[in-house]
Amino acid sequence: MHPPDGRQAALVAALGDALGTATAPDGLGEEVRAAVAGIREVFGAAACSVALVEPDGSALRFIAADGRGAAEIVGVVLPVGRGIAGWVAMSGESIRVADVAADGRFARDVAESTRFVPSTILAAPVPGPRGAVAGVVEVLEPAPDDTGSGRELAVLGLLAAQLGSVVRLRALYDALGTGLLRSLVDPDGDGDFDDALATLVDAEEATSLGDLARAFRDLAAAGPDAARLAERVLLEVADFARRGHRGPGRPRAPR
Amino acid sequence: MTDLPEWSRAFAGEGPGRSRGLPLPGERRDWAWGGATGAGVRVAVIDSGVDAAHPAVGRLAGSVAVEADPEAEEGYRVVDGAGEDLYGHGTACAGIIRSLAPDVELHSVRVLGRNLKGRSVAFHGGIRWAVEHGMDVVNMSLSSQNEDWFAAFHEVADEAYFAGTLLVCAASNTPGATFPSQFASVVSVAALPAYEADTLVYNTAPPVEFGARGLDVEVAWTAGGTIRASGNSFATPHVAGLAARILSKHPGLTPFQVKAVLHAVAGNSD
Repeated sequence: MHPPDGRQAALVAALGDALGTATAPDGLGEEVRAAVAGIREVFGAAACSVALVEPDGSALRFIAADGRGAAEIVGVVLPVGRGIAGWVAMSGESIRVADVAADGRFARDVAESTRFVPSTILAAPVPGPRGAVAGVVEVLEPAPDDTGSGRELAVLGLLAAQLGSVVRLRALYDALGTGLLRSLVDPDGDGDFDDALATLVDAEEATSLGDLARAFRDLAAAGPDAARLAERVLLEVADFARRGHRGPGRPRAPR
Repeated sequence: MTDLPEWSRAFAGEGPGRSRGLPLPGERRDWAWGGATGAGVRVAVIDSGVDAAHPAVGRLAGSVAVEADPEAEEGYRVVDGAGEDLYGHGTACAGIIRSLAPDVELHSVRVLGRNLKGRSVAFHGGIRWAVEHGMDVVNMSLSSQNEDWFAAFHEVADEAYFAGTLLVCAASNTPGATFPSQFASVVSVAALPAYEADTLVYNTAPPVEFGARGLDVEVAWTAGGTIRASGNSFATPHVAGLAARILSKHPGLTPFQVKAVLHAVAGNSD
């Protein structure tokens, strides 16, 4: 077998990244779900949710929630230009809004679809790598802050920072896995490990496969049959990448 | 919970303690801004835009939007006349400033868009615009934690300082450094429990220097309405409004002189 060229190596490594994206939400989701349950408890709130910024920066995707309306809000994607969560993502500042109904840009339709429309929201940014905003944590209908100290925003900010560590750690593992895969398929490459990672960040293939992976992830969430379909398609893509565009290979045996 | 942010620790419990302020002539606050309305002072609100038609705002002297533009030499472009408030937040800040200094010349500098891409470049470009256009006070109820932009924010904050433009910045509620709020050349602000709009407390343990009213405040918002909100974002325009009044009464004070006056009139200054 010939060693793969640089493009093939990048493609296979990007595929590894895509696989990581496709499978990561389950692992990340478990950790974040536990965190939001704890945050809801701390604030005596009706619900707590976490949304992460999509890679192109245009939207927030709710990845975990606990409490009222939790099942309905997970998976919802909101444009980052909407409402309180969007403001927090854009500004990097925490906010407490006591009468959400008065906010003309509050995503009322989304709240109503969860059958829970809160009157008070606390929201704080989840810090991402290099100072970027990775997402937003929202606490819906917290118990009244009798002290009026304002410390609830500070506390939520700290918890959001911890949540950010979990998100960043997961991203780091994904990046390390990608780099390792690249090193394995291209051991004689003339770039070092850091360069390989930097290349992948800019690889067009990584972007398109990332989109593909998110589609697979959504399919997987739809049930076991859809998950098997997603796995099958991914394996076919992997086979295509391994053959490196050198024409058709042997047909794969049906699984 | 052992590691609260600086600002929270500073204003909790017994408070930040006392410090010695400049011996201003007569009653300090009266000397600082007694009778002043903000007339003759240009104030920029770098935010999500400002709704000029909101009753709490009344009018705007101008509005621009700063947008990321990779093709532009500086990485951004300035669009004149674009002032629509995309979130309501800029209108809230402008309303607070107007309530304290009703006659200021208000300018909206919108740097927050509908996409997170290019946020830092637009934010930085907005500060530069304010300096180049001779703003006296700039309200920034937003911050950046992007270390890649540390030097650029530092540079433009220094430019503002030397040009006589006072930058008033919200501190972040999250741990870690935020820019430009932690720089010595700006006035950084956090929220504290207070009912009075002119409450001011000096923090003897910076980088966050001042505490002002920012909890459970009724603020202007979208569609001509109001909401009750809390956050450092709403404390900041209270200090910006007071600074505008100081400059209205004492034109030509430099940013470090205005900061010294703010310190002298703080409730915990002797």
